[in-house]
Amino acid sequence: MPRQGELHYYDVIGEQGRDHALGKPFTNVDCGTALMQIGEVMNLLPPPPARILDCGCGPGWLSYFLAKHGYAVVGTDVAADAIEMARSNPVFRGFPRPEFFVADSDILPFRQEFDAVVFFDSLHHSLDEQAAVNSAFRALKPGGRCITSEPGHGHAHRSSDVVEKYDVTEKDMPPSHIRKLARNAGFRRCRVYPRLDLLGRLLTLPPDPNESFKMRLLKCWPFRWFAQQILTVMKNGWGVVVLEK
Amino acid sequence: MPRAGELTYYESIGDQGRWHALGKPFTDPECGLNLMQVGAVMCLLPDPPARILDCGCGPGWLAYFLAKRGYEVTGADVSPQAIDMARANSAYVNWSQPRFVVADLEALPFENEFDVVLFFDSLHHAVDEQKAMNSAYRVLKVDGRCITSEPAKGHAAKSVETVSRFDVTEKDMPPTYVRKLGKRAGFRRIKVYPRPDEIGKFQFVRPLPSEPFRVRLFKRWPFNLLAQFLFSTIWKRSYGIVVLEK
Repeated sequence: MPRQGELHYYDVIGEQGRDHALGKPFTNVDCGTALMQIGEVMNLLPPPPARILDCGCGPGWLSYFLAKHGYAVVGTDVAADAIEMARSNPVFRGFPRPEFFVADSDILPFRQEFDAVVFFDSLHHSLDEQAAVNSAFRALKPGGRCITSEPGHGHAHRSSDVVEKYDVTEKDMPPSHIRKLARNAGFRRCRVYPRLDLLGRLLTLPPDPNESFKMRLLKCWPFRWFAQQILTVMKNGWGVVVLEK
Repeated sequence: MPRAGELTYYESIGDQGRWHALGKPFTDPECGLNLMQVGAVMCLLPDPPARILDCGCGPGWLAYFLAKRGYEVTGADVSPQAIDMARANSAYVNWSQPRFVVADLEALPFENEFDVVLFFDSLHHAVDEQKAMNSAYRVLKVDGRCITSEPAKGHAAKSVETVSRFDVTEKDMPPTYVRKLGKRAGFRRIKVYPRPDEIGKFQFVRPLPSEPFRVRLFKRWPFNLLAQFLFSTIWKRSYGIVVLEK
């Protein structure tokens, strides 16, 4: 069961927040890095046509992107508001329509149906992430894969005011932890890739005065060379995970 | 002046080709890499609102993306068909429509108007790329920037068939060359950034038997780490995004 705040989140954030959520990723300040993040996940998916489950889809932009690319997509979210917004999302009216269902990712009502299950910035909102990974395993066909692109170390710490304000769950979900969950769930093989949107952020964005001194330093020449190599080597802290059933 | 084939390209590619062009980047098999490329370009733009000219916009998907992001966008293409398709692009029905104009990149009908001029996979279709670059310089405001993300060395060789079939222009447009064009046009400062999608090809796109041995090798650990380092230091001069400041 999710925390109460997760169910009413889209109610609480107000008109402006809902408009922002519907227009994602384009309404995001970091739209560029969001596109890089989704681009990387798309590269790791099997080629279309395939059946894909977008777990924790929110107002559904990722589901629409995938449907437009030629996949048969099902999007699920625990919040009924989110699913309603996804179904009637005005931004993607010109895109093929995915199917959307209200479902708790801890107990997905699917059995061996999907070629891929995607957790895109969603597994870290789960109260019991082991149950969510188990349930993704059940929903996958044999040979299917589960892909996660989640925030790594330091996310929970940064989000403490969101948790307090909206009563939602925020956790760190580094690949090292997902690897453990996957082993318990029964996945056969686990591969970790570096997050190229973080890499792109280092390579293209100028240092921002709001960032920590360490981050600003890492963005400067010649440290950015080391920073990006470190990011690749430390992919178990911040990475995209591909689990094979 | 463009080659005749550029003007009638969207007619000659047939229904399937037009469907592909209208649905870009989603209809492209390399959708993931394209999204990474456009994401990197977006990171290099000033914050919205700013006035952007999408030069060689084709059926307009990038112009729509940028308009949705909050920019005031003008899309220009030399082919009237492309502009008609862009205006009627049904994938983006509810989106605020950018302004689309038919214009030759080599003689853009603007003057000191834009904060950014974007060449996204388009400068390499220009017959006279120096004229296109001069023209971009002219339409930029003072302190504006021109951003190019173009195919690198080897593109012309790969596209011989397209050229002979559709009578279009295809060239190599590596950053080293764009830098020269930019200097001649009068740009004050030129920076080259590595392309994350090129790095990505070596991180998670599987080695293909059809690829040369060198490429397959660089896709394997630990050589992919080396590839990443080389892309962000030396190879970015051949495969990179160029930001030119007026």
